[in-house]
Amino acid sequence: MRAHPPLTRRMLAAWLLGLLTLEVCVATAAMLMGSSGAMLGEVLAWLGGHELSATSQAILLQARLPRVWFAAITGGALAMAGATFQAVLRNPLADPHILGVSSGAALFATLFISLGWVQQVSAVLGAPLFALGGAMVSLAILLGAQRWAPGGRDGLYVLLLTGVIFNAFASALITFMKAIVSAQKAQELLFYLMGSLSVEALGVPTLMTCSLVVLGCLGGLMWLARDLNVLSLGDEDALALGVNTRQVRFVAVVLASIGVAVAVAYTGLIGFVGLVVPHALRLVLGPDHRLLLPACALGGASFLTLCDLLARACFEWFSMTLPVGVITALIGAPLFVWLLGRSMRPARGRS
Amino acid sequence: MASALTLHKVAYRAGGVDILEDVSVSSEPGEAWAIIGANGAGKSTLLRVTAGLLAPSGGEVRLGDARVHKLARRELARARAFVSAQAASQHFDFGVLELVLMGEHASTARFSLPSQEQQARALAILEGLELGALAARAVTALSSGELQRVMLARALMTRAPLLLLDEPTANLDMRHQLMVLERVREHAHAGGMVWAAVHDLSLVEAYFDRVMILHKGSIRWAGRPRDVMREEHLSEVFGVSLRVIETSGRRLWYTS
Repeated sequence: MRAHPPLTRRMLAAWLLGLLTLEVCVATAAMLMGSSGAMLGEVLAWLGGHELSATSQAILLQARLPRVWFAAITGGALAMAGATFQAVLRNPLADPHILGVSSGAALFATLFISLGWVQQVSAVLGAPLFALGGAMVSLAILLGAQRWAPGGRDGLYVLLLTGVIFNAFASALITFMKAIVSAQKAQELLFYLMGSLSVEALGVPTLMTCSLVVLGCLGGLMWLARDLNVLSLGDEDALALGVNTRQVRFVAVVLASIGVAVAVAYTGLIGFVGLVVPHALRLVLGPDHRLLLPACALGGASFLTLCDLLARACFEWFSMTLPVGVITALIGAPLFVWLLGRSMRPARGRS
Repeated sequence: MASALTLHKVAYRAGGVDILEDVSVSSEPGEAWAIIGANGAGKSTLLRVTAGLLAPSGGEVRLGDARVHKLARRELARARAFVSAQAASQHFDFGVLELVLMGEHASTARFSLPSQEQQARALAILEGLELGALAARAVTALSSGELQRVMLARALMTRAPLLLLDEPTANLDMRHQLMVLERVREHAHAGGMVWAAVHDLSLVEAYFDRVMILHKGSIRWAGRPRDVMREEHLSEVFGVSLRVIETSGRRLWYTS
């Protein structure tokens, strides 16, 4: 099997520009389409100097813009986190959702909502901080499990099973909380946990803050990209080549988890984005994280925006907008099974 | 330029077991050392402690004037290269050339991309190990013997004077064993230094200037192969009766 050629500046620029263009196109399409009808004509007229009607303006700026914007942030953060977990755990099947990092975040965010601390100001800051705490707890459990797990294929089972168990545990606690809170709160929780991009209530300052936090995490991970390349070969190799493995691993997973926490805090559980996007991009671009990480951020943004467009298109048939988590799971779960099957096959050409 | 490597009373203890005890030895630039001994004698541990990958529980390792375990990671990575006996299984489809270029990790800047010269040097090293044809192959699609040679290529790419190799010939066929040992000897004789754990006693005599015989965590004998590789020594250490015959100027070992 032929590998991708070593990275060049031209490759880097060309791919990232291409993916950026894709995201811009997808986002534009998502802005123009929706349950209240396509708005291409009106926007073209507006660009031609005509006034936009108040209704159209409200739909575009208050309904669609936050949604498309947050889809990009969430998709980018989840895909970037997936690629990071895969490198650090040396496990191509790692994904924040499968490993339980997302449910850890969701569990703590649920706790926050259930306890009724959702007041005007604290909700904006409190939910992501709690989500981050939850992500860190599940991460600590995972890294602990990895430390004791045997290497190779058995280690892979241990990690996946730890994720499964933690997911089950977290969802039991979440169910418990749903059972003891008031009906109205339970409804609120149910809606939150479905993994939906109904974030119309978020104001521009929150959106800006989330964007900056996720961009900051991406920047930090880019800083570590070359170390992640070496780390993905094996701990001892990385140590021998001069990488501070413990520090790089810790900083990378914390940065990735901050991204996940931001996404989960406002959108609930959206699964498989961190699995599907890095895999597809690795096939096309190769495994070099200097290209893969920013590509995942852009590709993840496009992917989730597209999935949400699909979810919104379902309005036609169900007269309601599906949670986007349904769409990503429908795409991601079969892909996961296929990848798991592939990784169970004996390595190619190994004697 | 390499500097002398000195181990002074090195000990390593893990899980209540003394794996290395009181190991003192020194080697000079230009020397290729073989480490021989039975399974569990401590060869791999000795190489890892010397490489700075494991911290000794006693004693110290010096490279010239510097204490290996006090050196900054990147500085250490430029001073010595380490290749383990079993290359970790690869999960990501890096190319062979990309993997070899990672040998430059500690001597290039964070955001630099491989230059033409670096790529040319990596290709030359690959050619020298008969891997030129595999340069564009994915590392996940290599046999274990090929992967082992790629790892040696990456070690040579670091330009570190000191090479620490754990069983560099373990997965190789006979022709490739000789080729790898030839490269290793070249490296030492060009002013570098090599420590390699080896199991084939006849190859030790043919390719190495010095040998240390490790037994139960300590060095029993060290010196020129002709002087210390005696039938009674090796028979004792390996627990089988070993004999040597001389033929066409070479000494060959066999069990009797």
